[in-house]
Amino acid sequence: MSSAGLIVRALGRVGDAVDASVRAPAQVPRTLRTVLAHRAYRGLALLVGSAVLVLYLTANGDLAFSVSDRWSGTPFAQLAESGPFDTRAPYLFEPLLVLHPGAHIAVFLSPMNILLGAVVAGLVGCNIAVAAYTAKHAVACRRPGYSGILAAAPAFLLGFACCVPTFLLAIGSGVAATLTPVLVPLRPIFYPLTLVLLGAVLVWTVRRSRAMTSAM
Amino acid sequence: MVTENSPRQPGRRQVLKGAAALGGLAAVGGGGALAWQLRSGDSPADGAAAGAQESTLDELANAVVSGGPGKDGIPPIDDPQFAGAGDVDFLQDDDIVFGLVYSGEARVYPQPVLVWHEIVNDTFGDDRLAVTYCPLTGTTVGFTGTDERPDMTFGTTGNLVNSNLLMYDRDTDSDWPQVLGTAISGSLKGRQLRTVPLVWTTWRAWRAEHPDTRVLTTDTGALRDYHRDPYGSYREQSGYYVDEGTIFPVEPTDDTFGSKEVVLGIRGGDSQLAIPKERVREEGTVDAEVGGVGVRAEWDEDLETARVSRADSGEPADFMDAMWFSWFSFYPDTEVRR
Repeated sequence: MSSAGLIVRALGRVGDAVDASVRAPAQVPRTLRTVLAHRAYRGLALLVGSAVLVLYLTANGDLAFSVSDRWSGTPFAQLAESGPFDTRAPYLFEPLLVLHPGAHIAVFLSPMNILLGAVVAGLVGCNIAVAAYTAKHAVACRRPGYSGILAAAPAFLLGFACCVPTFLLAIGSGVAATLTPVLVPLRPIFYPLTLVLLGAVLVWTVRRSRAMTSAM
Repeated sequence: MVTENSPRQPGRRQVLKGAAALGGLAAVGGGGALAWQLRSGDSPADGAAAGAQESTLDELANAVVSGGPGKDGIPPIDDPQFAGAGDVDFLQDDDIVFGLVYSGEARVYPQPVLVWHEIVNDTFGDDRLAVTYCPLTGTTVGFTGTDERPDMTFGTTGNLVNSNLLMYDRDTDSDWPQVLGTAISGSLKGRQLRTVPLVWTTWRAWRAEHPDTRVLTTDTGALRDYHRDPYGSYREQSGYYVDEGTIFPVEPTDDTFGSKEVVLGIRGGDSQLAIPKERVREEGTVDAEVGGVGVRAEWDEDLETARVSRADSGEPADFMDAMWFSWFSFYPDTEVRR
């Protein structure tokens, strides 16, 4: 085949891939309904999603825990003067209220932070549930099936855009000085990039799931 | 003629669709790269002075980098609330505080509060005084505006230069590195702020010396975990405050002292001098000359800190505690008393 013919064929394949990409997201709602109709997978999605939400809020400081009773004597609730959309950093909003349910815990409530965390948590939970559902059917079909779960892992790590400085401090200031010029300017896109990646993984996992269940 | 073994030829629509998709990706990628270039500007290493040459204001402006938060994302305290020494219960004896006696009144600004706000736009009678603290450079200094604009208030830009807090004034939006106290951009570029030194000490020592002191409270208008320092701990000597490295790029650097070793940075005219704080503690008194003016650095046993005064008048000199790396980055020609 000539070079021109190869190029034409390659472009045609890209076109086919575009069609498949456009069709694939439409399959997600129905597959999710099927998967989440099973109590076991629904429970798994809720459990994983809740854990991710707690992790997200802890990483950005909205949930604080202390071994010592450092909040003893603190009023149960304190109000802020800031508004719900006042930002501290990209995708990190000021809390409106702090609660001290005990001497060892503080909960800084920001509706926007909770919403952003819930979106990431929901996507991760759905990814894990669909991946587990696919894996179970893959085992039945004797095909590898756990890669969907692993695929979600790196994507959701990017969601901690607000926590970049904390992350950099944790890994040590020497390494941080090398990474900071790259990471800090990327902060504004970390969160939306996470949503795109998690969404893409979900679509891909749904396609695999449908392919496996239709092959059975 | 298509045979069983011939590959299927794609339709014209699919080919066009594929070409459009690749073209769109190239456009997005190229646009993103261009946006990245425009956003990043010169790298700090390119923008800052090479070797030991002092950076010009323009070079410093080119070395500004984002610290992460947006403008006033680290919220200044504009309506500071104070209480008596006996009325605060969130401080421990060895917490770091920044003390000030101004217009006959003693006030203290706890580091556990300032680490989250960095600027307090305070007033003493009719006088505006901005108390500032940068956790990354270990510097605290008060500003009373310029000669022409004594009532300036400041906010945080969210940006850093040489790892130092970059403030903006709310009158003109000019940018001011906290250590330099000179505007590096904006309509006030080149103007210098009047400084008021603060005392870096402990809560125990300050309240013993000034039992009538007023204490900045945690009623700041913002909600923060004031029991936690996001960078480390001075009390436990841990984290960023003792690590040799910096989180953000700094140029130029020097290894005369450890990067985080605390020096007394003293300014006089166009000259600067750095004296290790530990040296003043050991010797009790260190006499020096900066810009032709005699200065005396003395160890204050009661406040467990060092103070620098002018030899001629006894008035406080223009000085601040600073991590060595930050003082050298702004004053690479500084003299040093080893």
